[in-house]
Amino acid sequence: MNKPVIKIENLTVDYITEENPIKAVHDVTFEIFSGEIFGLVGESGSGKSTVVQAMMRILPPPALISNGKVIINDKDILTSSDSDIVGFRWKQISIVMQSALNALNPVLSVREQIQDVLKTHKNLIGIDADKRAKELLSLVEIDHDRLDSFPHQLSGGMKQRIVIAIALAIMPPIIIMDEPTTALDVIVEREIIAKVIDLRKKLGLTILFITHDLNLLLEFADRLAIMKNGKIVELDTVENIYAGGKHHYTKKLIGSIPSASGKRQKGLLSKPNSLNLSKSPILEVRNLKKVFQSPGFFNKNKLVAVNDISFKVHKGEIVGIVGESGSGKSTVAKLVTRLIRPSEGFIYLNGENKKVAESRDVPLQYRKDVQMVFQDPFGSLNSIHTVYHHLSRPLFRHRLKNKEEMLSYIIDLLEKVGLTPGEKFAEKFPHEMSGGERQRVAIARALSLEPKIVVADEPTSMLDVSIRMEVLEIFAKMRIKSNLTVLFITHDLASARYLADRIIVLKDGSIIEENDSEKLIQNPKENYTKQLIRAASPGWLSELTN
Amino acid sequence: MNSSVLYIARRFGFYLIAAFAALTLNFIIPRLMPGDPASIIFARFKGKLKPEAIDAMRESFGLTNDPIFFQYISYLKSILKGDLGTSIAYFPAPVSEIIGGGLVWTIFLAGTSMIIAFLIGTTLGIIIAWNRTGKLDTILPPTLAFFGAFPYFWLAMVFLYLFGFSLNWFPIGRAYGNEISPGYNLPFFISTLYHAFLPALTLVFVSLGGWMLSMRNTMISTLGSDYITFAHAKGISSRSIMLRYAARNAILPNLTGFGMALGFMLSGALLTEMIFSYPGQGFLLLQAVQTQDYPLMQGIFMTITLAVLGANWLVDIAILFFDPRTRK
Repeated sequence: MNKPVIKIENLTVDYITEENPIKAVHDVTFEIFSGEIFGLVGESGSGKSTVVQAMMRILPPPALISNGKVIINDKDILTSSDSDIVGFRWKQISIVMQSALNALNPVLSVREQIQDVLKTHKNLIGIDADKRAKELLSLVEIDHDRLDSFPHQLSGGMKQRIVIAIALAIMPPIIIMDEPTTALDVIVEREIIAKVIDLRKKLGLTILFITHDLNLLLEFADRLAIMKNGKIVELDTVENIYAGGKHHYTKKLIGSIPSASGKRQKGLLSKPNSLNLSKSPILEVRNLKKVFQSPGFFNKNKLVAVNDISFKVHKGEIVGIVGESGSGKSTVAKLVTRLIRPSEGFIYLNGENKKVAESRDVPLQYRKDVQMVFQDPFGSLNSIHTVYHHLSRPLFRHRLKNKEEMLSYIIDLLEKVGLTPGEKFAEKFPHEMSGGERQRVAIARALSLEPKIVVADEPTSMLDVSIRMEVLEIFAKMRIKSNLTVLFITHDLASARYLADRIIVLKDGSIIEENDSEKLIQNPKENYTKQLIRAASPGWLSELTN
Repeated sequence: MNSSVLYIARRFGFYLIAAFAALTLNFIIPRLMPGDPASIIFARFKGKLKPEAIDAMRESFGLTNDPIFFQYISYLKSILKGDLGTSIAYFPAPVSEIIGGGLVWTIFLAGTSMIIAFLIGTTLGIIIAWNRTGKLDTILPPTLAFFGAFPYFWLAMVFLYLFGFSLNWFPIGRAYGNEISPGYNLPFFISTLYHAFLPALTLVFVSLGGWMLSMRNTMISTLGSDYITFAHAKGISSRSIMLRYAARNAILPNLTGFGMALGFMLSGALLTEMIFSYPGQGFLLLQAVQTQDYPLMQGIFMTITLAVLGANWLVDIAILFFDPRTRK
């Protein structure tokens, strides 16, 4: 921690458009010292990835660096010649890219992709390059057999480790990590971070870590810069930020982090003091099973996505289904909404078991009673239609409202989900709204039919951290107000804890554990649940690295 | 690698079933038509044949009074032996011989020009996508799209008229010169190239743009993918990024397209062969239709079907080689 290895002064990046240029990065200045982990936190659109790409000079057009200096080891990157830059990349500074899962060339083997770097920068070929490639794989704890694998044969976590191995290939003093773990499951994410921290200790690396997940950085960064709308709003040590920071945006970010351990923090989401549950379940699932058959004439590969699960949901209850990717949680959502057909088992709604039929034969009444909110607010709204159109379509289809009542009903609905003034939002097109606003529209659409139960499949995972809690609050409020029943499907145990009354933990298509939320958090019985809780609580890193 | 062999074998099995289905259709359809080839020939000779000859001809066409199932079995048997019946127009030459003669020329003309168009088009696509908004990229796509928009036969006729008829640079018909005897000798070889040049040029000219544009478009979207940015950050040389990272991935859809085109080439060169009087498969098909030569038509349809299936199988193998994701 002596002299700065990276010095960024007044960096400004514009996106050139037809009209006025848009400032993606505005007057950003910070220094990173040798051996430190510097965190850059920001939500989508804050300009954090643009800063990184400007540092490597790999900004795609129409971005233009209009002002500032990037000084790395006493050399200004922005004024260097192109040939100097090629030599500088990877030797001085390497990068683990955002969406690193797509950072590997699908048609080259792992060996070729590692050796590309060795050949370019160190002129290592043949046996020497092989030896080095194996060393690198050992470093990130991957089997040497994997050298001849292709990216599609590797799991997300393995690809991530390989990208890290490539970043370490010629041991640059500085590594940039741009959202390196976003696409990974929590437990894998934590293992990889632990590995990075471990390597940094061994090799004395300087790390610039970029993420939208402030919670993650609080665990291991030395200093943090918080970015919003292209500007750094706060830059301080982790301790000071953790204490709440000075800027109100920092406070908001800190306040929106739910935790899966310890006592329940107050003020995040309100829960009713007593639940007004019906005696008989509104939804009951019995021995549900779904098997997917791979396509192809002679293909006998079968995937059991959901294996013999049973659960009940009562009126006015919020039940959380928690699982990692591949646990079958989204399949459960599609089965319950009858978008796909179960292979075996029964779904009772209000005690009735409508015949297990093709999805197009599901009675209209069932569609009205069971509504769904999807994960992707960008894909679930048709971009050529207004909000009014999206909300009126189901109402016309189910003949609930006539033309005269429609507009006032929709405005009312929009204001219920926090989109005020409703008149204005009713006329908007999807592209005129933020992700959070779109998701509110999707929720309003699900609520418009006054369904008996809403199935929300990861409703907040694609939204910015600071608005996730607000969106979840809509469900909590609607439950108190109109005794809404919600099946809340998520990978995030912490947010399930805050919204759901009861949590079902799903793994590999089976139910591992089920209990009231607080009981499950405080007294987990199964190992897997314990692992999940630990990964979502502060202090996980010290446990992993020791 | 074992699983790759299994995959190839499985695909082969699939195409075998498809071929079998096509052969069966080929058997059924002519039998649904009124009349039979023997009576057509008989009618054409206008009473110069004795009535007994009809029965003999029926026999030779496989049109017996046996139950349909036995006819079917003997039809399959004769196909396995390479016996496709007797042509009517070229009576009594066997169909297989006639088709064999046409096939060689079509493969030579259309096959070569397709490969040339594919290679040049794809290479141009790579280059203009890499130097996007460069000079070539602003000139080539609209120009080739412009020429691609003309009806092919019109363009071919203009070429024929201009370079063959008016300027007299190239011959206006046949596959080789009248005075040259076919064989493995240099004058024959040169003569075939000389005769094929103009028709091949028109074929390359019209199909070039398609290959180039599709390659350019996939290449541009590939260039936007994360592994390309990552490769730039790694400091890999531009040449290597262009070829090993971008083009290697972008060529995959084009390769599938090539397989499809390869199969259709056998029938698709119909117009070229008509205009340039080139004695290939398409020229034969035209004649067969004009003379109501059912056995020949049937034989040509069959070769086209088999060629499409065979070409697809070859492309399956090529893609297995180029795209590791298809190997399990």
